[in-house]
Amino acid sequence: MKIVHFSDLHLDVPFAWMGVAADVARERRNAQRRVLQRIALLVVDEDADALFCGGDLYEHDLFTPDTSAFLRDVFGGLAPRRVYLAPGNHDWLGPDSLYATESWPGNVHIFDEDRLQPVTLDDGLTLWGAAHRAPANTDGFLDGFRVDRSGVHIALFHGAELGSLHFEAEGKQPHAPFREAQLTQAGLHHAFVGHYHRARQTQLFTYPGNPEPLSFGEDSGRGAVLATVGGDGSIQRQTYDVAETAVSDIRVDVSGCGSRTEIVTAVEQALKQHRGIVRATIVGDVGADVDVQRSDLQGLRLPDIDACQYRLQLSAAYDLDAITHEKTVRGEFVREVREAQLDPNVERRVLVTGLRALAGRRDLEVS
Amino acid sequence: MWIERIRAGAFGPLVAEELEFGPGMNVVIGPNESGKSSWHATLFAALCGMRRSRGAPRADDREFANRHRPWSGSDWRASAILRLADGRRIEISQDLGTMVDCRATDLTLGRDVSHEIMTDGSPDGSRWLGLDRTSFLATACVRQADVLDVQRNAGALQDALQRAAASARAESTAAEAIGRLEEFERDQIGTERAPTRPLRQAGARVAAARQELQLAEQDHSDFLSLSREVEEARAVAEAAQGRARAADAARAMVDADALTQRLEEARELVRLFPDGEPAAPSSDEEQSRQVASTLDRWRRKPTLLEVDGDTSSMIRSRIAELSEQSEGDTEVHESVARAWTDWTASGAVLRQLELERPEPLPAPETQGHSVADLFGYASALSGPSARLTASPESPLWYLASAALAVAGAGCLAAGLIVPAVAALAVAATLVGIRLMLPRRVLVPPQTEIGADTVQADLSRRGLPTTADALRGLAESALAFEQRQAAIGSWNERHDLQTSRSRSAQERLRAALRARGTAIGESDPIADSFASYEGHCRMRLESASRLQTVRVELQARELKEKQYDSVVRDLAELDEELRQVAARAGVAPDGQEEVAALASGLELWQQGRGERLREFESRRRQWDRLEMVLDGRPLEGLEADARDARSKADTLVAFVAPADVATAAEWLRGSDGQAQHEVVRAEEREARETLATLAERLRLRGASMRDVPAAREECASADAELGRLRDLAEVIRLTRQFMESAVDRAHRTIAPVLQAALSDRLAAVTHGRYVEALVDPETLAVQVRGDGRSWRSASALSHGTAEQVYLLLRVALAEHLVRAGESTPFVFDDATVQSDNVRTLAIMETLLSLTPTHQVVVFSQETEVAEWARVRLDGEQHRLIELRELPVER
Repeated sequence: MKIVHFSDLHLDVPFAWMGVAADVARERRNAQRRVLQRIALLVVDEDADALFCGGDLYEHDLFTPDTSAFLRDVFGGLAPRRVYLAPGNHDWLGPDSLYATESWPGNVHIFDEDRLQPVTLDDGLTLWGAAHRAPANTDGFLDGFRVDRSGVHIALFHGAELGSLHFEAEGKQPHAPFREAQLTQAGLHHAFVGHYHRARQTQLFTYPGNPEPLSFGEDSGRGAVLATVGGDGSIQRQTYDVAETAVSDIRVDVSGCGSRTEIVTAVEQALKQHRGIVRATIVGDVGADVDVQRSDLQGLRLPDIDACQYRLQLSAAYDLDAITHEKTVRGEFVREVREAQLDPNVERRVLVTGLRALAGRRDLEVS
Repeated sequence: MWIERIRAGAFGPLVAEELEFGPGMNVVIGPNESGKSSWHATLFAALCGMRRSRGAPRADDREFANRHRPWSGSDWRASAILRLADGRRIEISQDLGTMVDCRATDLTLGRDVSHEIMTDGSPDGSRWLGLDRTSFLATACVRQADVLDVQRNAGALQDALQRAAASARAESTAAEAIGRLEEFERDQIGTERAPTRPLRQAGARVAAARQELQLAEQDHSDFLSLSREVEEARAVAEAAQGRARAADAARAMVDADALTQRLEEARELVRLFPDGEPAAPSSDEEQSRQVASTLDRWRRKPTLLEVDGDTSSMIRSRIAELSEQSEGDTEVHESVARAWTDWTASGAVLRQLELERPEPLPAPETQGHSVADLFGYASALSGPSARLTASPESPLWYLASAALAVAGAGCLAAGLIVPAVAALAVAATLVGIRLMLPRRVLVPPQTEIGADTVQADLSRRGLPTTADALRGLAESALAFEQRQAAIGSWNERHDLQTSRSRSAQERLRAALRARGTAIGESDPIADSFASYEGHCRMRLESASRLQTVRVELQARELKEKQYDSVVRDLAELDEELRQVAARAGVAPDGQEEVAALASGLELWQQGRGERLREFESRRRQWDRLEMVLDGRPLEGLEADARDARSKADTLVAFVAPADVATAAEWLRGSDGQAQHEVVRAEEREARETLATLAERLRLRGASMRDVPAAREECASADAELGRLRDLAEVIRLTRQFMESAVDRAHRTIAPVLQAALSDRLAAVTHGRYVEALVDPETLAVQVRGDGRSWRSASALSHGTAEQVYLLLRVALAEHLVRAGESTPFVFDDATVQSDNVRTLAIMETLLSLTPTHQVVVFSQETEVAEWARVRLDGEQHRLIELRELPVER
């Protein structure tokens, strides 16, 4: 049996993290929808039997009526192929969630209990699914669970495999936690799960990761997973990159650039290698006289770049040690600032700001 | 640092010229037009280069270029070879024309070290000193024009020195830097209260964004809430729809059953009327009505009762007889009655008197003595005698007796015999009592006679001798007297009453006669009265009987009348019956007995009723058939039944059988239809409610704000506000540190400059001024002689001011130059305003710097040349003499 599994699409999520304009953010949300369409297309192209969603399909607090119509159309368009949805902690199943209020096509099955429930996918193949019924404090679905029939058993739910938690970014909460060993103890051959945004696959579980970027700095390997479940419970998997948006987090070292123009040119050259959404962190030691502002970079026009977030982390080539020995106001200033033992970043910014002011410059905002 | 050599590739009038310097004092002497100022500028340009600015060059750069561009050719170049304190030998080459080929090269290593001193786009050798080209020019490289301008524009010099003091790069004074920070904070950040400034605007944007987010979230919350309502309404509607469908299916099933039943009934009825509609019976309605009426009258015919007893004529005869018998008094006439009463009353009184007749008493032996005497004797014997008082002596006694007598007479006259007798008797008694009372016997109290004497006298008189006996005798005598008086009185009254009785009898006799009673004189009056009274009673009875008989007559006459009427009615009824029977054909000859005719008519009536009932029954069946078919042929009904069954089967197929059964059960109930309507109404209402809510949800969804966009805007606004607040904090800290640094720098630099200046001031001014004060903020200088007052340096003579500020520059340069380095001093006509003595003093002062500093002095003064020839010896000092440049180069 062939299954396409995805999770953590987070439709309607804000893109404040991109720091982009409203229209760009809206376009990103449109891109999320196109990703789901791509996944649906993958189901058709691969002639998969079913589509699995491991939760966090959308944002409960943010979704719009248009989202519900969109989902209905996409999933309904897959008929007669079955679509199985396991609500997560962001799209938890409540009385006012889309899952409860939308009139879903007949080929869509929503697991609506907070304990694993069986659905027969094929002769001898049982799918166990469960839903988050609250945004938090959902107990592990595998706690005390054991399959009650013979055959091959697979599971679909939104939960945190505790052994993988350390791979995630700091602050990731372990909703509906479980341990890999519990899968075997429960009699499950494999679990298709969601929650972790970083893709992770073991012999017993599959986290496909978020198929569309949700932050800068995400690694590769995320997307939709085409899984073939064998009659003996074996799993063959292939991950498809279905992302609509390319998100790059790059560092551009402009050390040695002697002028704003050189820096802008260097950044432009670096950006030409990328597309989509880019966060460019400009680093390096430049001359103290170099006057480059974020606005200088924001003026760049690159056809493949939808939006770019610039972070200027330039170190002015001030010889602070030498200045410290100056018997000038500048020397006193640097000495006092350095003696104040400020936060290093604040110290840097205060020093550069003061030195620029003493240099007669008016670009006193230091990132 | 010291400068080995400078080369003017092309610089003003100089072309491919070089000057070599020693590390100590270098005096370059030349007349006017020998290029001293050009060499000074070449040295400065070679060492510090020129600012490579974006856009148009600054005014001072333009002026410098105008003054020093090559007079011929365009390859404006200057270079210098330097020795740094760290031992490096550096060549700086400045491409002043294009600013492209400017570099600093470590001549030992052959490396480009330009980056160490790049300033404003070109290498600036003064950076190795810790200065820049501007501060170097302000302190260590004094131009002739600056010397000349000291007094006229001391402020400009101070400003330049302040800039140097601020950063050793002379880009800005500390005050300007602080002002710039303030300006930046004011313009680029602002305060929470400045409405046009970014911070306030960012705050407003945050507030607006948060409000928008709140509204958006509220929109979303409302949307979710409404979604729940819609789902609840949908569930209600679906349930109601299920009930309605079940009811509809049940209704369809019931209707189909009914239609099938109707079809069966129609088929049965059709079979009953093969010939179509039943014919109505012949019309004999009028006859039937007459028969019914006649029979009704017949059944209610009166019964002829026989009238027995006296006939009316007989009764009338009895009335005439009784009328005669009742003529006369039917009751005792008043006059008779009154007379009778009077007579009987008088007789009663008389009889009462007889009963009261007093018995005579025997006469006592009083021996002729009066009662009074006897009582007197008795008293005498027993002592003082009592006085007797008797109430019968009162006049009231007599009045009462008289009144009673009058009343008795009145009663008698009125015929009230008994009261009259009683009253009269009482009156007589009262009188009698009075008359029988003994008279009072009074014995004079003064008469005192002895008892014995009395007794003797009594005895002698034949009277008792004891008091008691005497008193008894007296009392007997008194009683006798009284009885005698009573007897007399009675007799009088008896006579009177006897007379009255006779008179009453006569009046009674007369009255009886007057009322027609025959009475003789000797007839007992009482019998006559009784006879009269008996006749009255007899007449009264006759009169009474007469009235009864008259009533009897009336009744009799009525009965006789009714009887006659019934006889007539029966005769008429018989005739009618015969006629009706004849018309009905019951008795064609009309000879049957009327009872038989009536029975015949009843039979006729029954037969007709049966025929009518049969017709009506068939009519009802026909009507029923028509109703069942409802104007359609039987085939149409069959089609309807088939359709209904098909519809019912279809509807039932979509509903659970149990629900249909339940619905069918209550549909068949008495209020089934009403319940069905209720279910449908509920279903309609639920559907309408759902539609209303769904439309509200749709409208809400269409108009709801975009929460993600609101959150993004909120995050963006927060970030901007955070950026500004963060920036404000950085600016605040920077300014705080800057102000503190300025304060500390001023406190440090002031004594250094003052000491350095004071040390050299006396030598330069030949002791005229020995002490200096330097304002660390403005670098304004005050000087004074020994014990004299302070004077501003700028107010001194031009030469003195020039010397003071020259020393200040030297002191400041010494102070500012990076530790471990020493700056070369370059002066162009630095003593031009000084007299010979001061000039030499200055040169000596400058010479005193040479152990640690290279000094280059450009001068045209003979005194300086001569001083140099005398004082400059050895390898480290140089005297360079320039020739006047040719006019055309």
